[in-house]
Amino acid sequence: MANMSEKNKAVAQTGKEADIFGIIPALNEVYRSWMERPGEFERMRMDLIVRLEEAAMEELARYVPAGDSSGEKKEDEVSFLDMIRTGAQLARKYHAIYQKWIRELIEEARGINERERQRALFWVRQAISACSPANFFWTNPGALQRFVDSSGESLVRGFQRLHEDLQLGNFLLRLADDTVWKIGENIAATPGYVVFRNDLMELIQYEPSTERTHAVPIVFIQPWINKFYIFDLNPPMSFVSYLRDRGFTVFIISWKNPTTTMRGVTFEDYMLRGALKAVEAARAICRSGTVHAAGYCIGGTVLAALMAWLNRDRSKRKVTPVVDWTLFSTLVDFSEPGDLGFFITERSVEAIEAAMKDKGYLSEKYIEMAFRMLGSDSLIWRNFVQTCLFGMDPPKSDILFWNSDSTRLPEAMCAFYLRELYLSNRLAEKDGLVLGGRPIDLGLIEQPLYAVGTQLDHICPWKSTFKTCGLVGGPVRYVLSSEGHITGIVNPPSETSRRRYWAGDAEGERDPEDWLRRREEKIGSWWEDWIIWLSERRGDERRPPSMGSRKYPPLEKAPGTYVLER
Amino acid sequence: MDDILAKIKSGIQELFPDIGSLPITADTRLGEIPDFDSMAAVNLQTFLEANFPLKIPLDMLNEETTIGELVIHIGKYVRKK
Repeated sequence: MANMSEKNKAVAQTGKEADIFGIIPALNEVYRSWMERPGEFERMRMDLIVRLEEAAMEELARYVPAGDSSGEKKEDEVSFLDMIRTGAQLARKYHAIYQKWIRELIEEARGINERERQRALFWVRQAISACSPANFFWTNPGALQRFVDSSGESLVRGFQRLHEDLQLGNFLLRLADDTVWKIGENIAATPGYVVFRNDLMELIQYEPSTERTHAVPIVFIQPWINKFYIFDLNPPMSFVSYLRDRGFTVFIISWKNPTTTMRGVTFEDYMLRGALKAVEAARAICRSGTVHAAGYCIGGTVLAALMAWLNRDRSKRKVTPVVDWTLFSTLVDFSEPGDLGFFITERSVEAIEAAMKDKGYLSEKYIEMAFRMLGSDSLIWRNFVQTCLFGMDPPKSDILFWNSDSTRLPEAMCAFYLRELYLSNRLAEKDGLVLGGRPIDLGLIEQPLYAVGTQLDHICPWKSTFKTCGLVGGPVRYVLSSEGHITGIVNPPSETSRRRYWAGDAEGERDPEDWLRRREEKIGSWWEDWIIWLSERRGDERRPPSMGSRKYPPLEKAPGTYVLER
Repeated sequence: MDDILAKIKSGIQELFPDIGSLPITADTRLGEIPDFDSMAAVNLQTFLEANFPLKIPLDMLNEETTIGELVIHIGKYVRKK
């Protein structure tokens, strides 16, 4: 016994050391809270037993052995399948009861830190999703039915796929059919040219689709986590194409997928040699004094830093080159970073830094894993069931294809991003960072801001994106869209759209709930609202600019080379 | 129409087994499916497009959308054919 106890202690110690996400302390808080209320805990426990018993009685009473009604199947085969169905139904009910019970246990624990409660809920949810009866062959009647109907071939196909993916080093199965989509042919296919390239990015200018265009172009600062073409999916889902058809000249940054040689590339590089360079090139090509700059997710974060940087120098420049700016689902204040924050602790950052030492970048596999865990029901388990247990082909979805086209992050930039923004929240602090030789103060930004948050966003929760309204100096129009981080943004207007949004002035506002109470719900997409907002500063109408210029000659057709790099 | 409803119903039961014994009728809202979110909508869109000969706009698959509305939308197209 003594030996066992030592062994258990050793296992517990190893567990604590391996727990870089702080899961054990969060669960311990919940446990301690209930141990202080033993009577109530006992009541909860009894309640669980009663609920499980009720479910069992209800389900078993429903079970009536089936007869040979069709005459096509043998009686014992039919009843065997029925038995499995009943068993699966009971397993699902048990799973649902346990799931609800454990959630209640965490939600009703008293006197614990709210963030720790959310952390416990997040990681317990991961475990609960993994244990769903649907993920196991014998408790998934659909899998068994397919097995019988295909004489076992469905499961053979599923295991072949699993084997192929494991051979390729994909521990998570492929999300989408990657044989259907050809970048530049049926996705990322809006015509244009690469008009500038450096070691960090290619800048794409799209061809006009109207006879006259607005003087002021739009420059998209895309995220460098995943590829740029989330804004150029198939029409009508192509944001680029939508804007082009409304007379805007559109530029977009396609970032290079980092390699070992880029280990020293910094956040500042992305700001100055990426975002700022793109703004300069677009101004020069369009012969326009200013641009509309728009950043998405981390692209928006770098744009916010750039706007503060530009405004620090206003005495030296007569015109700030950005007339207005837009943030799509962007965190600037990282104090409440949502579910993604559960992956970022002091210890996990140390582990990530150690993992990056060797190759000089954070592998795309880590990033893909974290993002898929944020939506594990849809992005891990449903995919596993369909591919592995049902033996189905991966779905032909352009959004899922884009989702699995992950990118790496350079070591220096990644460490800065995690430490200075996620852990220390320095961008939200006045002069908390010095970038490009200038202290960064968001309060100096005077240009109008249009900020979009999405209701179901796990990556950039809308209430956290709303904090930007209270940090910047200029006027702000905030828009809350229904849906999530991707589908709330890539959100074209259409007759069938059931999307909703709320929009209005939010300058200096700090309370998102209060702001929302004063807004009216609108049906459809916010894209049209953005066009109206942009139009106030779009300049005169003129003949479309040439593709590139003498200084920025067209180098190759869009979507260029960097987007193809895996 | 009944066969469209039946096909959607069996698809939802397979895609979202956690729906359990919740009856799926024309009045069922997609939001009633446990953990229905925008990525679940992408899964549903893929299923519908693989099983019916038309494009289903993603923005139609909102939590407020009912199965009946989907049946009508698909029915219009299937009837035209």
